[in-house]
Amino acid sequence: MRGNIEAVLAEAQARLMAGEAPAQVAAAYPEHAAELAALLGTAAQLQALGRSAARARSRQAAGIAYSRAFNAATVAELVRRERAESGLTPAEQARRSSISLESLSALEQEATPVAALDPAGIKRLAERVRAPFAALAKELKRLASLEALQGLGGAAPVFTRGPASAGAERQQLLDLVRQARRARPGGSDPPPAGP
Amino acid sequence: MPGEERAPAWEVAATDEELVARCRRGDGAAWELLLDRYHDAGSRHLERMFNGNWDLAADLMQEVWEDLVTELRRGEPRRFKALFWTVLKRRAIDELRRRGRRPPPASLDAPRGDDGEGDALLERIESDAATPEAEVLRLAEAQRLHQTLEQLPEHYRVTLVARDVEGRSNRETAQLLLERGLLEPEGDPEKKAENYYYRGLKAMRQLLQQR
Repeated sequence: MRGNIEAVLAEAQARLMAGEAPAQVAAAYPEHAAELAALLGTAAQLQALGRSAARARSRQAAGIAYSRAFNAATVAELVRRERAESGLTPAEQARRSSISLESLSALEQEATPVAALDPAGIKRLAERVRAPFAALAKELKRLASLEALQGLGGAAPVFTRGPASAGAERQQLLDLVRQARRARPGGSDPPPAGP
Repeated sequence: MPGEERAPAWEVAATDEELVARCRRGDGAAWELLLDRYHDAGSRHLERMFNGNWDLAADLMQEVWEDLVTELRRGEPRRFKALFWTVLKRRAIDELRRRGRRPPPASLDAPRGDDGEGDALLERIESDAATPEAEVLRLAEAQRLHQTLEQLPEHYRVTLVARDVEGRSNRETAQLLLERGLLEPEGDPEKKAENYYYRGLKAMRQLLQQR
């Protein structure tokens, strides 16, 4: 047994890693027992972090091994399967899922098996969807005048922006906003600028 | 068992063998339930067997599950629990032999055979399994530790993470500190790494007490 606290701690830490309890290890070094008990308690907390990360890693690998062997569905396959079964177009599927077409397309690139999705995998998935969602939200903000749309009856407006339909839908929405303004008492389009 | 309490009531009732049958039909959720039931218990067992070397235990657990996938593709086992512990024991003994260590007597380290006699050991291993409440507390504690580590000076943080989180030896930690320019090459790097570990742990403890 070595006397220096730093050297003693190095020895004690190895015993802690091997599975001995902090109090038990500390008791083996009477001249430093109190300090060791306190420090090894903190070391044990940190070791629990490492252990937990290692277990999560092997668990994820187990999910991947299963998915490979039994051809379990990936996120992308689930998206495609739902579309095939329901007969929806991508735009309709996006609308029904309350996500943009771009987000749906991002999900369709996701090759991670569903069974292997851990919290980190789900976060990565959310990151993929976030960018197109933010773009959609920005566009909605520009269209504005939701207040005016509240006065309208009829079919709900469609906010989906497909590459082919974006311009036409936007124009349609702007027309609806203008109509709503005209329909309000005293409402009208702002006069054209200039003299 | 730990995972059962998190699963819906109808899943709790499912036997291992029912879950295995569903797994064989490609039901990933059933596989997750089997992982809930056995993964932590198996990992704990291997960590104890290999002196807390959790990286090695994780590698072995991965191999255990891969072997089980192969077994499931071959056919349905009579008792999954017995199969799980048999496969785990086989992997552990192979590893011990590879390291030139004598395998401990089977009666002390793993359940025996296919007759369910291992249940007593299994119960002992699972007795310290986390409940869902404990799991929530564990996650909160992990977050608190991460945040506290962030507050430490870099040389202390790297030392503590290397030693306790990653399980590196003092020599490997000294090497890492040198590579990162966090330790002067003059003098005895291992002694300095020991010093960083001691001081880092003290600083970490103080910060944790303040939170």
